[in-house]
Amino acid sequence: MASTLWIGTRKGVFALRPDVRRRVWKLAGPQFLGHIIHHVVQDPREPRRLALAAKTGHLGPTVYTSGDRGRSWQEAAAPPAFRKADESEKPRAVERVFWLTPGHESEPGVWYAGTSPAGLFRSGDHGQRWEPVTGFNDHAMYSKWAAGLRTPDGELLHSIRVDPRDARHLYLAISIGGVFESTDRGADWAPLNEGVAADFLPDPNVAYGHDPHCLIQHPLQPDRLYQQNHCGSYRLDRPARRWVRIGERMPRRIGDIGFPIVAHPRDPDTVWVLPMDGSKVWPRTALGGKPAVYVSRNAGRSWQRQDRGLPRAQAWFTVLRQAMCADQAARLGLYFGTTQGEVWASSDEGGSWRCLARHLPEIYSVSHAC
Amino acid sequence: MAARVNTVRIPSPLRDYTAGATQVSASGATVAALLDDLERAHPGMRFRMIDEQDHIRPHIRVFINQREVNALDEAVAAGDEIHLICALSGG
Amino acid sequence: MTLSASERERYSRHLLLPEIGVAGQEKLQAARVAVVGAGGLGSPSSLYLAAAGVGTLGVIDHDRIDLSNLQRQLLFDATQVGASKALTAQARLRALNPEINVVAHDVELVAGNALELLRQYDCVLDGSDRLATRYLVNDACVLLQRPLVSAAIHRFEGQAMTYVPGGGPCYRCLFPESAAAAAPNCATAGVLGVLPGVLGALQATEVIKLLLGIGTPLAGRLLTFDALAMQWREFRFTRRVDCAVCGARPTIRTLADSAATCGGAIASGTERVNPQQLRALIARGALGADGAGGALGAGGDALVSVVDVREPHEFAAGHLAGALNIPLGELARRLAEIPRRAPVVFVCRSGVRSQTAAAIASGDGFQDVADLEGGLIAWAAQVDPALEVIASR
Repeated sequence: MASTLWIGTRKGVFALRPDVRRRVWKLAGPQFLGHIIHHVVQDPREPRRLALAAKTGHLGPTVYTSGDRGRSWQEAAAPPAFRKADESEKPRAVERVFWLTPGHESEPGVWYAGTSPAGLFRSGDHGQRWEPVTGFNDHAMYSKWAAGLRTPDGELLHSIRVDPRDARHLYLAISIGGVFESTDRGADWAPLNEGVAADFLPDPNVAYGHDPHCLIQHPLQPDRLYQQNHCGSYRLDRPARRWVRIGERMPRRIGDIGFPIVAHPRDPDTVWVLPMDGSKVWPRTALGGKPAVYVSRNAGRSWQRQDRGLPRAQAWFTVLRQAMCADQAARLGLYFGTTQGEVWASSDEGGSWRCLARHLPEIYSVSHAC
Repeated sequence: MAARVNTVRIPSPLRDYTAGATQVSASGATVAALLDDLERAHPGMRFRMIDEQDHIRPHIRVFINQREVNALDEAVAAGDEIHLICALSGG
Repeated sequence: MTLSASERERYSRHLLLPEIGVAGQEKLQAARVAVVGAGGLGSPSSLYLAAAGVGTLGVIDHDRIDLSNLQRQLLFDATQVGASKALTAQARLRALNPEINVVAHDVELVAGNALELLRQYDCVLDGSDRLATRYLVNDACVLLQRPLVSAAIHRFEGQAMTYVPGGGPCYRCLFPESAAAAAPNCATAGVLGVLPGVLGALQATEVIKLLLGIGTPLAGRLLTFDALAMQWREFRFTRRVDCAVCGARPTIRTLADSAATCGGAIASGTERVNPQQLRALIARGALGADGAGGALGAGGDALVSVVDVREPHEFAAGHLAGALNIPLGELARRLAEIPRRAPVVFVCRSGVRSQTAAAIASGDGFQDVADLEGGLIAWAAQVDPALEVIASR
């Protein structure tokens, strides 16, 4: 099977490849040793193509693409960059490329990138040349939406989602800023945060200023959105505009705070979260040092704990927003990577877990490629 | 104007762009023009050193001969050596 | 101080040099030099400084000796793997020259202790292996007005420069920001073993010249060495008016400020809260609202401890009700005063010192640590305009 789990880390890219039964995994790499890799993403339209977001301590941010399933990589000819600032405005320079999303099926070669500070960029040639999406980056409300409220890792534009039914219909999220929607290919945008808590703001009912950690759209039911937020996990079924806090149904002592959220690619009602300690000052580690995944089979109405095979105690996992994914197998595989450099896998939809790799650098991204 | 050629010394993090060469030739009457020439021969290199607002990235310095460069419009004379220096940290 | 008969013999080749002579040797004898990092650079430089008769040598390193160090760190031998670098270096240097005083500082140089440590010395030699430490040492030397001889190595290349107080320029003038944790060190990138020998000996030379006041220091000049090409190069650089530490309007006035600029490396792993978040935490917690100072929660179960790490006079001018005042410089030894069962939020004037405080507490095992981003200035702007926040100096 040409299945690969791409691991983007603080110090390079690794690949885990399984045998047919997903029992034996071989670790390959590193490629890009010493480079800071935020995201590695396959193009589902042309599976031989991949893109990754990279920078180094000295060198500026860029994108590399591969046309041969990651055997060789070419750097973008024009990486994401803001336009030159006028005298009157605050100059913006891309500090890191944080997120990559392949475009719509009908638009081969189109990719989107999200950056820090918050910027949306588009490529029409498989990631070779990138242009700012001025509809967002120069939106009249930009300075309000991306107000420079930084997470400890900076201000991040992420979770760019393209509606599989309509190439013009886009979603994105900013930490900190909220979820935004465009119906005209990015020319104009509007906030979409009703019902989402923003406990950290003076007025919790604001239109924007929220902190979505991860936003997903179900491929088979694109009106179904899930969001793992700084303040809980949510579901939204469009055209409704008000998010429903599905995390309310999580056990109280576990709470509903975390970074990633992953949906079953064939079942819009099945979703996984990885709760982390969001109490008090947000330690962002597995609750009580006992890591567990929680699954809902009914769109968030009830949740079940899945921790078979995971450490029972004193395991202070932190799993970042790009670092959890599912594969496409009939018996769905789930994967996550920790900031401690461990990759964990389940080949039975979360029923049991085992460690595939440890001692890797800090893991930023785990993504499945077929 | 007579053709001018300058030697540019390349630090190790940027040698992926020069096929490993520790020095290359480029020309230009200003640092900016010289960097453009460098970019033509070694595509992608400039943006890793200089951001989109034309600021030299913080951990990289550019010198003309022994003199530090603070702005990209500084003049380069024929025969000047350009040095790109990255901060080292080992002890 | 005067030279004993054995010292006269030991230093006889120095005494023959008119640039040194007895007077110069006595200057060396009276001098106190700190060597930051007993590694590749610290080995040859401390050996030469000890041999040269520098009266007091302070060796600062918290590491243990690793077998892979012996390829270049000539202070140590194979029987000493696993031992403290600082203590082993002390013994080695004392054996080389019993006439001098060698002080072992088996501690990590951090923002909380750097001024206190380096203040005891006349001159600093930086042979550390992290960029964050290089900036910290540089900033400490500028704040203390101590000369600094800095060098760094990588693969086959080396760099060296000297900071002389009173005119600069400093290391931050050369590389204005920190690449912090991102830059590779010898452990990850590899280094030619003899390379630190070349650069370390050069550093010792500079230190001795500075102590004697002879020759021309390597000030305002970056010297680079390429071992493969066997080429030395010199680059001139000038003081930046806008330098964050030695410029006309410095933004780094304490080492806490310095630590914050090196972010990731020093203050990693702790959260930051904004004023609104802190207000919510306090509202939820049982933080004493009587402003009685010192004690938290007045007997109740505190859900959050607010620790103000400003100086007492800043605290006196205005502070959050119920906050505990522990100035940053005292924090490391007063951590016991902070309840461990409750989360801790550190606050200061602008949110710089508090980041270091959070890192210190986190490093000491505190689980729930955060600090107030933007400091009390932001608090006053967003929550309570009545709070008086005075300048730190």
